[in-house]
Amino acid sequence: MGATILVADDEPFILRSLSFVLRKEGHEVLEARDGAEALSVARTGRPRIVFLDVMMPMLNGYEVLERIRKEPDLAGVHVILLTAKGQEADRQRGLDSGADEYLTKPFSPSRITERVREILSGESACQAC
Amino acid sequence: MSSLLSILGSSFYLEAFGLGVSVFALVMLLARGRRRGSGPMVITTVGLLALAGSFGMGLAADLLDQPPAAILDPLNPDHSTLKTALRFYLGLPLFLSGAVAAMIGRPGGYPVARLQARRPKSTDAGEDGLAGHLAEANRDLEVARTELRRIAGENTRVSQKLRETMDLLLGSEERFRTVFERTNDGIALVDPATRRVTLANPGLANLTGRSEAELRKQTLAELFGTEIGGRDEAGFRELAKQGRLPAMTILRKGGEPLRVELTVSPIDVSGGRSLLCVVRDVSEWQRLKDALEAKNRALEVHESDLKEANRQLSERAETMRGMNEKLRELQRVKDDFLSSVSHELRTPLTSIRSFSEILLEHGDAEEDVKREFLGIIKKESERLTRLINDVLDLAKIEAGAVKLHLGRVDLNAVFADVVRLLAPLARERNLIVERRIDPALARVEGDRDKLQQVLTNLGSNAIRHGRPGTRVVLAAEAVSEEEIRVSVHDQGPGIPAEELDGIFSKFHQTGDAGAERGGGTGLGLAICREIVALHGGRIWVESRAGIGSSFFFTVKGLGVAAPREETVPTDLRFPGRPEAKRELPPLNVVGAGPVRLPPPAW
Repeated sequence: MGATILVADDEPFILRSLSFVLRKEGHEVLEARDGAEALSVARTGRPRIVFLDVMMPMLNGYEVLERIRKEPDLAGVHVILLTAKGQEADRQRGLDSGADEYLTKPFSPSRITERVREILSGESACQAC
Repeated sequence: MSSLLSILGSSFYLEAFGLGVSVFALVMLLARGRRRGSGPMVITTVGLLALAGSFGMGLAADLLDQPPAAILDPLNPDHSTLKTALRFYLGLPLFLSGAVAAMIGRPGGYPVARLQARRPKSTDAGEDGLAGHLAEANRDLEVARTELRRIAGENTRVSQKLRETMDLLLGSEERFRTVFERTNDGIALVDPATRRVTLANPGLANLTGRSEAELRKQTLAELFGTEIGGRDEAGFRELAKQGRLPAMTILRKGGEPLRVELTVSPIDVSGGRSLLCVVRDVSEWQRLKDALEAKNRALEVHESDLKEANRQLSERAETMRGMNEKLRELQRVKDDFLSSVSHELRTPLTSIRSFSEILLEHGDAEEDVKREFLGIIKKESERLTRLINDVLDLAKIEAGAVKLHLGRVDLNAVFADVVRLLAPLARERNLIVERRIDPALARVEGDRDKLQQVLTNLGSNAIRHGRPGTRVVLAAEAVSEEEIRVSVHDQGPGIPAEELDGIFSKFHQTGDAGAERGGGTGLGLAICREIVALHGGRIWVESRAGIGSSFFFTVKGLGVAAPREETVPTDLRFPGRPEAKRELPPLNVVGAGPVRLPPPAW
């Protein structure tokens, strides 16, 4: 039932809260604190879902996402961008980079777990996130 | 009666006298073709009269003796041959010639010459020759009459023409006199020898304010000044060559100046030479010209004003473009700032929201986990508060709404307070905070709270970036009598060169992975820069990778003495724990040139 999920954010508390709720749901959570780490963990851990913060050191979220999309081994991975920048231009850029979803901080942990359940059960992407 | 006439008519002497006179008359007539004069005419006339008289008397005497037909018949044997021959062959032609000459004789004498020219060179003796002569004489007579008529007609035409010309002359003289008298221009004729006015028109009298009589006593120099009037003949010719002279000012009778234009030309009047001076009043023209020139000058000034205004406008447009550019840049900075603020606000808010929700939904979690989450919430709340404060602080400073409360500040006290404030963080990070300041010289002018804010900010940055177990040094030294340099040194990883420039800008984040996160708001250094600038000081940073960073700022000193020079001790004790001795890495202060710091003051 549990899936492998990568959570990448340079904010340790956000990492902590996401990991906590996803583990409570029975998922295996991989953590990364910058873009480069996120990419390497994604390559080795083969997550089903990736939560990717946009503003990260080394590589930002967009750059990590573009590279993930170029990796054949990572095809089909569901990527959700997390951003504290809520402007429309940022959102558009995220979707252009190949994100499946775009989530603006602050978010609700229960909403996150709910989305993960929906994605895993094969439902279509949420339009109102 | 008859016998008397007969005696007279047949008088041989009378006949002989008449013949002599006739011959003389013929000779004289022939001579008249080449000579003028009335003498010959008189002689001829007298001769002819005499001839006619003798002939007539002879004829009358014959008429009494014989019938006319016998007299006229040249073949009549009764004729005294000699007498008849003389009468018919000599007396009659002579008589006719003389008569014709008398009738048409004129001083020029050409008809006679013409007659002579027409006369055959040789005349045949006999009756045919005489008839030819008569016919020719008649033709000549006719020609002469025609000529006389022609001449008479010509005379009439000439006298007609003469009358017309006289009329014309009289009319034109009148016209010219009218022009001379009525024109507004002054006209004077001047005798070049005496240089006196010989004729002046009313126009000149009007212009000069002098009567025509007065004018006639004037010399040219009196009228137009010595430059014009004092010239000699050659000088006037020179003047005349110039034609119209430049405008000049003459004095009217009352001394009133008048602007005139003068034309001088030498002319011949009734055989003598005169100077014709035409004087035109150009005062009105001059006034208009002056006004026009003044207006022109005003226009030029106006034009240059316009050009200047234009230049200023372009300059202003340029400035506006620059300002526009600057505004756009400011707008961009503002947008970036808002975006950054949004980001910085949302990040702690996310943690607070997430953990409070987790705590609410997972009440069954372990106690220490709950405590951890509550701690995070508290910490992030504090971060949020700091951020909001910093944003507001910065906004106030940038809006110019912050007034410094300037006063005499004791840096010793400020340093002590800052060390106290930073102590918890320093303990947490296992660092030592040193003060190195000469208590005697640290009096500065400034806003105490603001200076403390700067120092606290720099100090907390230094602690967060310093490696655990190292020192952070707060120091103050006098660089001149009026300037104190305050510095904060850490022994952290240093700041990459490419980041040094932007480090004082808002929300600048260093890539220092080892630094303690969550403490800074990204606005601290920007606020420090603003506060130091408000104090009129400078702020800068020097850094070396692997050794550490030093932040400096200057502040106005008040009555400082020269700093004491002391070496920096290498072993230091932790404040408040004098008994504990601990080895610390040597302090290599980063900075330009040797930095001499006062000894540590605990």
